[in-house]
Amino acid sequence: MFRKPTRGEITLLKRTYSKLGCFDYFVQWNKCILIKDGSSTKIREVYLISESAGELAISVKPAHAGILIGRLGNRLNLTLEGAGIVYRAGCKVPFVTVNENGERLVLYGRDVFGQSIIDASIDIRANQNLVILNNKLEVIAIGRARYPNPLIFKQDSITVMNLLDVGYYLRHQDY
Amino acid sequence: MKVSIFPQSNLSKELSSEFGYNEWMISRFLEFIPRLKECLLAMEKSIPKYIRINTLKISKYDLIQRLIAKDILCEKTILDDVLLIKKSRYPIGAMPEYLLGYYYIQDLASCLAVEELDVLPEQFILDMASAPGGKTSFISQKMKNSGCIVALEPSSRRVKALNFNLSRCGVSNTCIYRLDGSYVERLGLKFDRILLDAPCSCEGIIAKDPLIKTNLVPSKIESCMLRQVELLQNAIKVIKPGGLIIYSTCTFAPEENELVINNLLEMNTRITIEPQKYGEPGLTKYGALKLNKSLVNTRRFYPHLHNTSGFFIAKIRVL
Repeated sequence: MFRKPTRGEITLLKRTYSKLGCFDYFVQWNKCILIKDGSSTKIREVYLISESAGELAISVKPAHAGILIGRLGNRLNLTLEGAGIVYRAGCKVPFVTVNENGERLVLYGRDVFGQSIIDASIDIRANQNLVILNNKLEVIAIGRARYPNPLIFKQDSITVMNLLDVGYYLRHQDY
Repeated sequence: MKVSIFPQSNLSKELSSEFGYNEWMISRFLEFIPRLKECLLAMEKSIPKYIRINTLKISKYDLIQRLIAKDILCEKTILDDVLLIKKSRYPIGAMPEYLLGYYYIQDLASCLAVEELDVLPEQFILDMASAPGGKTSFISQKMKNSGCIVALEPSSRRVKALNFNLSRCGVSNTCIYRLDGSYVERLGLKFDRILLDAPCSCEGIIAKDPLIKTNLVPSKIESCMLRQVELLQNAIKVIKPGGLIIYSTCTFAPEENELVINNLLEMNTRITIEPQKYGEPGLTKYGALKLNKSLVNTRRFYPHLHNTSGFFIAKIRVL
């Protein structure tokens, strides 16, 4: 069921916006954010939705509404769509940028080799989640670093695992 | 109502054996498709590929520059946001730009249906059979992601596809309900605009699915017609006064097109059929049947005349 975020959830979201460095950008969206409670877990889903669609989603329960941008536990974990929106809004998200060959492999669901990476955030730590960008700086996947920077550029080894890429759904569709 | 079957002729025999159709289909097509042989020839070729630029995510200029850089030859069409792909080295359904939601592969005629819907930002729109989401995302694009679109789809598998496509295209003004359009009244809502791209016998997309040539049976057309009448009558119940309904199908069958609208005109005095810009006028006579004259305002699209799939659009104003 969709509902408006509670005060506690708004605080948690604002803390995330602040950490991402895009507080001003996101605060204007507060009235367009809805929460959907998970059926069996404590994880709550965060949706970005237009104002009138949001009002309808609260009053007449839909199967889906708006765009799922993240999941809220103790903090906000962005989805692929959410990461794309946040990155386009100029937020400070840990990233690696891959070359054209790397992009092709990522879109086929493969992990990233060190030699495919042409740029990366300075402060990447091992096991940190990050966004994988193509050379046009568009978010093409969410990944997890296996090494900190500068080891992330290590040749001939997989340095970033591909967790979810934009080609995933089309590869797995059954219609 | 029964599907009209017309007498066979030498021409229908000849064309059905040449192109591999059931003969009853050809004898019917001869009644309402102009220059039938050209149409059948056009449906033997692969259908033209159109893409609709998703301006929610990228500007037209930027996408065209990216396509040119990938040696993709495209051409303008009658619609600003739609391009005809003339030549491409890559499958256009697997390019990063597609996966990122910068464009949607969609037939020109199906985009015209949305164009005729005359949507404005902040309106309340119903898409009665919305999966896989091409038209829904085009409506959202026209509304600049404002207002609200209610998208109905009864199949949960197709709801998944619909949700994915809308997310990919950055559509945030839609509520998806797992509901058959026949039960739309249960939502208790009234809409400014309704798009009903009705389930049909799909004669217009034979180029995509040649099995229709031999697998289609008259009873399928009859069952589609009953369903379409039911859906359209339900649409009338939930439209606001002065609202607009676009009824479209991808079939040539008059039973699923003009006759459905004719039936609606007979049952409702408070509706009018509005004219449209593109396409061939709809039929006002079919076999021995004389239909409402305002059906001339409905539009038919043919592969050999319009370089699209076979399509039908009616623009219904509810007074």
